[in-house]
Amino acid sequence: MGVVTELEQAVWATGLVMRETEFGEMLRRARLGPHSLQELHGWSVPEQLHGWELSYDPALHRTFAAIVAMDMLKLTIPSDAGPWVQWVAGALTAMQRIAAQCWGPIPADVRRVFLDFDDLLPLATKDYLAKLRMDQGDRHALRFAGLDSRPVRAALAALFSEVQAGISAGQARQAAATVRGRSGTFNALTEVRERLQNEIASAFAGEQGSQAFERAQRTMASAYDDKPDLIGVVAALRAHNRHVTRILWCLLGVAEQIQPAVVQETVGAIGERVVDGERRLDLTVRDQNFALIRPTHPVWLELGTPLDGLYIVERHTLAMGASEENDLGLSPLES
Amino acid sequence: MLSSTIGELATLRRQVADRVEQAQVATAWRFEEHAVAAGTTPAEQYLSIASTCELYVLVVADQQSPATEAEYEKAYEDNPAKILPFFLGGGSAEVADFRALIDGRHTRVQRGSMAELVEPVTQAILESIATGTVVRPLLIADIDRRIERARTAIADVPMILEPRVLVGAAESPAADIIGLQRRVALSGIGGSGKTTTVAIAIRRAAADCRVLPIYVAPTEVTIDPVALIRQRLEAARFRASDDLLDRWGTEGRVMLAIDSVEGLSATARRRLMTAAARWAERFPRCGVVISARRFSELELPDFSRVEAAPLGDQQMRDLMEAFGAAGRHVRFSDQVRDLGRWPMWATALIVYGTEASTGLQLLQRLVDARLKTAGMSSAVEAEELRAAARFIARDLWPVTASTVPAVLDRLRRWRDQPSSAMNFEPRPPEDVLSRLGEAALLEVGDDVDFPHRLLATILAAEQAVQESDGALATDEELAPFVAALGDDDAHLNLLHGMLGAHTVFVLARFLRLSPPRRRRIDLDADVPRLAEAYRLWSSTGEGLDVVVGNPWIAWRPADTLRVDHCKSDAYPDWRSQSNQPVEFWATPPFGAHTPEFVAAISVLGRFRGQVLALDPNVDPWRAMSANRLRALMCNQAQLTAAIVEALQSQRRAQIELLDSLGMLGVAALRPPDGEPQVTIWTLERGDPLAHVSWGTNPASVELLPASPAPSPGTTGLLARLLSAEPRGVAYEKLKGEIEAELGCRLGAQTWSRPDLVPAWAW
Repeated sequence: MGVVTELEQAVWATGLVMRETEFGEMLRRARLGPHSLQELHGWSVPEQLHGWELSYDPALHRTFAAIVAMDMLKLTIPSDAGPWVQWVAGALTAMQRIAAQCWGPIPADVRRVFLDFDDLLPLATKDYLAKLRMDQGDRHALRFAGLDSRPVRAALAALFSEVQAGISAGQARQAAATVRGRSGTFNALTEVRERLQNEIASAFAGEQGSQAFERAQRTMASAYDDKPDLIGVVAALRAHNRHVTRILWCLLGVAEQIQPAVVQETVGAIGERVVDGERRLDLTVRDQNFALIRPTHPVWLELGTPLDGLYIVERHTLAMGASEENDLGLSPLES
Repeated sequence: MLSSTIGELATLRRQVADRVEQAQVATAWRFEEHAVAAGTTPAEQYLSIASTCELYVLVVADQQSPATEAEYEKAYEDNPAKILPFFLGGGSAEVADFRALIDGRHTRVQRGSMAELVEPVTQAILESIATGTVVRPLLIADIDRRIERARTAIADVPMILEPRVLVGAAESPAADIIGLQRRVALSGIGGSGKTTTVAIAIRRAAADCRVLPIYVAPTEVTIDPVALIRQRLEAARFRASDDLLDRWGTEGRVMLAIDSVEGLSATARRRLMTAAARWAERFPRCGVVISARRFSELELPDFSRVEAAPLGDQQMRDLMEAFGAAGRHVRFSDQVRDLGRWPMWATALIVYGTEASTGLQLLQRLVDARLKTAGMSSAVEAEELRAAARFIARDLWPVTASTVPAVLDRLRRWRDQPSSAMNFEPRPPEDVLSRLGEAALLEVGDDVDFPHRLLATILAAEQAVQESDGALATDEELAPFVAALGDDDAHLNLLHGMLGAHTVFVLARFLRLSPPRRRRIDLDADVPRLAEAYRLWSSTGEGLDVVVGNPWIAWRPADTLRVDHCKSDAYPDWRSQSNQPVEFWATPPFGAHTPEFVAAISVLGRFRGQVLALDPNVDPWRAMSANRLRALMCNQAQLTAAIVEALQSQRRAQIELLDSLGMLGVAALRPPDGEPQVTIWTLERGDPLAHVSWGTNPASVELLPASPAPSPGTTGLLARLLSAEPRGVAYEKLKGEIEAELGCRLGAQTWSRPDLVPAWAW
């Protein structure tokens, strides 16, 4: 009935098989409480770190953001955080590998050379996964917590194929060809990165945290304003980076959701509007399973209408009390 | 009345009368005289005087007098506090029992001779008048009656829940706060227990035996607090002079509660608020509490603002237990859920059923239940009484009380109407009034009143919806009820006219009141009706571009009405043709709501979008630098010019915003007329504060060296007032006022369901 794309189906299917692995089990347990990993591995997420993690999204990124936040406030990272941080680092390496595969044939140095929000401090990335483009080409990175199982591999292969067939991957490939083919472009991109890298990834003396993050985000947004030749290629590469990031949000989100978020009935009307050029859906769901949903989580709409498909949570509010109503602001996976 | 067991008291009477007259504590005195020529016996006349007099002086000497003892009993029955007992001499065996009775009941004074009694009798009379002792029990009894009336207004609640109020975010017992703050403006929705709260608070205050608790309900013609106090005292048969009222005020004896202001016109309300504020200012030792559904920022600026608090978990459990419903899981419908925590509504929901979809249905059930439980002998009589009550409520509206003769006159007019004459057997209006009282639809005493304003509202609305054209002439309070009753596929003109004539806030209240209805969907008829209602009620008069799928339906604003049928895969194309917000329904909503109701949802949602789109996205709270402010403070002429210009700019910006919202040209949101009167408080520490009010005097700025307690809503930092961005301030102010009218933040969760916006219909 709906206008659901192959890519949306592939992302959702991949998320569902990933949640069946140890990887998904770990993420879900880590969400449920600091001690829920104990019976699985004999270690847990330190309570203090777990408390800080609650402020950030998506999964994995929230751990690093929490560590950076604690460090900035001169709080001691709990000594027993080691196993959990090590596991998260391994998981992030696996995600970098999946992201790299979504970039397809685009050379690693091209996908790393432009600046984007994932280059910022983890607290300022606007939910981008920090360092997501920094895959080191480790072919064994997916031999991690069941991510190399046959169903996952099959799902990922289908997913990569759909991503490569998409518009944003095509435009990114064209941009990469320009970077490689047009003389001086790669060097110009390198020069911008080297010039701004320090400025966007650190706080200056006397600067408050929020001031530093806002400054870095402003710098990021205007990094190429004085390089008109680069704007086109950077826009295409950034668009694909955002696309890949959103796919990773979905995979991590489905894996860690207590129940995969499927909407089969809404309360009242669905509002559909355009915000900054992107479609946005506002709807209300009466379902207690949505209580723990987070921004960046995926939601599958299955209403039997042309709105059906895969969306990402931009905003969520929960009505406390008897109504169990969840107010969701969603954006489609593919804008 | 001066009564005694002595045969002759003429001298004492004359001397006491002279002394009392000389004291001039009353405008006039009327002393009991000999019995006059009448059909009744002298004894009956004296008994009647004993019962109705304000003060009863009893002198017990040696002789027994059954007549005097009978008079005493009558006086005691009426008001024990009005009895001033004296013993003359040592007494005798004859009067021993009577004296013992007096000693057990009162504090008496004993003297040896008649001459010695003159002074103490005079002093006792003057003291009881000067302190109000004589009238105090009657005032307390009046409060007790009101508490009892509030307790039983909806059902016979076998308990009284301690009223609580919110001061900011903190919750406290109402009596504590009202007793402490002295000048309190109590707000709360209809049914939040405001009347009980003020009555209990002043009843508690009367635990101090100096305090005279006075509960008043202003009318269009009587809004002055002094006149209202006098009226209440006269109802207790106490006629106080201006001097005496001044004296009570100066001594801080009065604890004044002003309730039932909702029926007043805007002019009368404004006069009342001004007069009450002046009275409170003149007598700062007295307590004043005023209750209303809402107070505007400019009303009673010097009063503490408190809000009636919803029932707490334990109170809800107690209430449930009181009705034998302890442990029962109660689930309310969406449209009444937020009401279920307020005393009146909670009681009504528990007693009359949680399945009522909206407050309107609940009120109708309440009326039904009263007619059923009052022993109506037939359905015809129930219908007759309901029709009569509707007529009275509509004819009185927005007032809900009147005198007995005036109500009887209305019943005569109702009886003479062709519809009444045709449907019901004629009977005397006195009978109908009496039966309405038995059904508890009216409270019949010296005056006639509805047990609760909301009962009058629902009955008046039922009457209005039957009128051919009168329904269009309803005020903002009644209109949403009339519209909700008329939202039945049969009153399209009424709905179009009524909701088109009022503000978007009435539309929001209509949504809260109109219950879901089971109806057959007919898209060919429903879609044009939807578009027509949307066109009439939207501020821009725009049409709708509707796309009908299977089973879904969607629409968005457009220049003209357009209806297309399309398959799902064509929807993205349709959507891409416009950037207007789309309202998408997975199934057409017309099976449970009329097209007019659905249109109202769209209009309200669109209105919210329009308000948010007005946000100038500037910092409204920018502050002037300390150095610049200091320099400006040194030159009063420049300071005055800068402040006046800043305030006028903000006002102009607010009017511009309001005008751009079209149908919202509502008086309540317009900035005040007149010129700003500003007081600057220069503090020893911290930044100067500015207190702004608007009045008819020329603009003025006054600098004072110290600060009083800041008045809510009108005091702010001077540096901000001077430097704020006018459009930003105007927008924040307008948004805040709209949010207050609608009862929710414009970005709140409930906006995904505009039909659940609180909107304060109550």
